[in-house]
Amino acid sequence: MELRIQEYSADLLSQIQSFECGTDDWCRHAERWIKSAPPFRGAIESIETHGNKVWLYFVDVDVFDEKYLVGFSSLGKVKWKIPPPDGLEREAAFIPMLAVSLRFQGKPEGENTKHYSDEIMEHVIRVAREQGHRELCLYVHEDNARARRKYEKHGFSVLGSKNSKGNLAMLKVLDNQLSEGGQPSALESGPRLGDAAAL
Amino acid sequence: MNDLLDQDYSLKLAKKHVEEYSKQDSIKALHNEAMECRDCEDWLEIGLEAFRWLKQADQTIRQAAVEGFAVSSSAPNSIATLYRAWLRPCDRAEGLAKEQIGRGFRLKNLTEFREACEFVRQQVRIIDLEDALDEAQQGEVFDEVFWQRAALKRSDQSDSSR
Repeated sequence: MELRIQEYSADLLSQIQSFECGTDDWCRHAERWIKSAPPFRGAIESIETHGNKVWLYFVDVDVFDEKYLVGFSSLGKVKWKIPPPDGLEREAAFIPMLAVSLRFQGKPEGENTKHYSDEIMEHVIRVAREQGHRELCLYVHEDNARARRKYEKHGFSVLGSKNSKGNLAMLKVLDNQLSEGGQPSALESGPRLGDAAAL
Repeated sequence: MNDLLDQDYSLKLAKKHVEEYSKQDSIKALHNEAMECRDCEDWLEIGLEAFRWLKQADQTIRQAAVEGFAVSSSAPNSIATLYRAWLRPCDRAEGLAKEQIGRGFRLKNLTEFREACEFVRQQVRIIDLEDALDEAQQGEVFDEVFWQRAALKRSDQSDSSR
């Protein structure tokens, strides 16, 4: 079944209140994130505060004239400064949250079908690229092996050691053209390779 | 003769009283333990009652926000603070409960209390994850070392594509 993508906004809040994606802490966090309304932290608050984009993915079932929420994803920006802490501010694309409903996890039935999670990942990566970003980053909990494997499958690598909350920072370089159009690359203006070698 | 009988009777009476006193001592000890168990149950019940109120407040306020009602901007922090505060006495309550179990008592509300503890612990872990997401959005998860490694990665990829 084909995914139908809808940009998320506050008027859709009531439609996603039954969304469930698992019982682990990060699943509960994702559920709460998409279901919460300001002043509680969540998707709507992140749209308003950080200008994030959030998408819902539905499948339409014609027989019952019903639609099902398969999952959601989001895309924002992170700022960083070179040299820290007071250097020039740069931006890179960032996936704040992404989840697939329990009901739609795993491979759908039928030949030549993709995991919904892969379709969702491909959509976010495509949008980040279309927005002109050259780097896409996210963080994943160190115990969330399944998500980590999924991100690695889509070209992300762990580049940061885990922080105090047990999160690993991952990055995907979106293309190999160093001076193509779009937004300036964070890395082009970032540390020189000679600096990096001193790690 | 009567004197001897009286003495014997007196001793028997005294013995009976001493035995009664000793028995009362162990009964008192048992009573105290039972009371301690009841106190523990009462304490767990107070915790459970607080938990029910807190959970209800959390759900009600969240639902109000979803339905578009005005919610105080300080509500999320207040709820987070209350969850953390609720957890604070839990280890001591659990220790006391274990003592009662060790004495052979059964606490009628212990299972429910433990479920409440696990629920609140998860709420606190989720709050920590929310903090972590805030930090990430501020760029704090992606530090200088991360970007230096990213620069190397881009350099490797562009070299291999040439």
